[in-house]
Amino acid sequence: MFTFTLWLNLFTIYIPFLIFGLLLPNYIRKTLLFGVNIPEEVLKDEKVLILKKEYRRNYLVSFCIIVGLIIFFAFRGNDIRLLNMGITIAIMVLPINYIFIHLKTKKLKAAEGWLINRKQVVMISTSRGSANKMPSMKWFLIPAVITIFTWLFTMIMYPHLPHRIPMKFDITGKVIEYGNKGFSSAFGMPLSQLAMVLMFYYISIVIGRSKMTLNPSKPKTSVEQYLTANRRWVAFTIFTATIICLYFAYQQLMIIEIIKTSGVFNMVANIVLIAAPILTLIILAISTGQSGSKITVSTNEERDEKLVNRDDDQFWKLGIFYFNPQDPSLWIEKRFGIGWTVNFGNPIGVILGIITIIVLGWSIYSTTK
Amino acid sequence: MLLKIEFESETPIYQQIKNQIIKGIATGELAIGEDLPSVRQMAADIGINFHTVNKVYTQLKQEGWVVVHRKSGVMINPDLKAELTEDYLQTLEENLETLAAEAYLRGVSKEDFHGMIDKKYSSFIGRGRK
Repeated sequence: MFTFTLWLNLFTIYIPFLIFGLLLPNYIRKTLLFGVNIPEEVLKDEKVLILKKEYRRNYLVSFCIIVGLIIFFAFRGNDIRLLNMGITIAIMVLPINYIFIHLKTKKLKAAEGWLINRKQVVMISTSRGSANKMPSMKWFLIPAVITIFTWLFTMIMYPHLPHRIPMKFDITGKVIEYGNKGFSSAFGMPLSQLAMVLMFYYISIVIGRSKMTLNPSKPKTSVEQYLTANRRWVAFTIFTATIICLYFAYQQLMIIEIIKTSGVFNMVANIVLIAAPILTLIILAISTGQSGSKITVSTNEERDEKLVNRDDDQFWKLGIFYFNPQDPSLWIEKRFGIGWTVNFGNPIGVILGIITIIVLGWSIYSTTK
Repeated sequence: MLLKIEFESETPIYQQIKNQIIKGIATGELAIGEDLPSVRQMAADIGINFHTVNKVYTQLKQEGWVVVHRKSGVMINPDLKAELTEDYLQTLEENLETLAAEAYLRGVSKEDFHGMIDKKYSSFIGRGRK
């Protein structure tokens, strides 16, 4: 069991995370360097290249040492718990390295005066993806219908269920844990399913409305990239919502014993339903990049080197947390990474932040149990 | 249409947005009946207070450039008829006077000043509305 967990963690978490951290700088939009607002031209600067090399070296070395230590101590004590806790520690290596290089980049920017002699502006487009370009929200009817059917089946079957119902299955679909029949045991799965669909629905609305940060030296290209990226992410959200919804429905049908599956089928279904969204996510992230920076747009737009994004470094605390009470926006693209974060200067942002910390803390705590 | 906002400029932000929207109508970049972002959306995209954008839309509405529907949002006035009023002519003359005064003091020649006005005005002819 220990060796299995070790290999599983190594190949599904440690190694992918190492590669992710090393490649991440390549997928960030060209007007940001480790969370610092810069003009695109300085990316070719010798000092910038050295900085990027330094980040990669630091990350590689620190990650390998930390993971090496975790595996060494876990191995000595034959301790699976330490192996799982190690994931949290290993994931923290990236933000720590990032903060270090972020502060260094900030100093370099001030010393080199990259923004001097350039006009700082904010560019926006008045026609953000005129609604028809976005995938229709009606696609959410599919997961909605699946959810309704799951609930209906459960309600119809509920009176006929035995006193002990299956709660947990192993990968081959064999029941490994039974529980007493009751609302929470019979409806736990449909409830999580409903919560998931609502969450994904909210996410896709958020993506459509999130703040658009355009590169003022190439605004037309940047608008196209931004809108294409958003379209892809909304489509992905709908796809993932459907798959997850289907997965929950499948599990629930096994709990209320409407279907009984063979070991092989269950294994394949599990792997496909879990792997499909993850693989799509990876492909999408690689081909899209932050704000669609990896999308090629065919415009022959000249670059206006005099314009640069308004310097907003001061609002990004440690280059991670956006805090700007003057900005009414709630959701904004991450500074370093692909995805969105909240404006902590907005009261709703603070509430969402607190909820996230509680959920994260709880899930970390539960891995240590 | 793209809007460019300079936070460090002497021109207030609401004025910058308003000027660019009127210019957009004149150049045809903003079509008659075209939708504009909601107050919330524009304020969030630029990163400024709702009131600033509200002021822009209120003024544009009063002057007849846009219409605001409670449901369908803000759009460029579909029956845009910008009339030449006495009041407007007076404001225009006053504004021009200020501009000319400063240009004169800074040593812009009369010909250059003329040329600039000519160029700007011509750039709108045959575009936008009619």
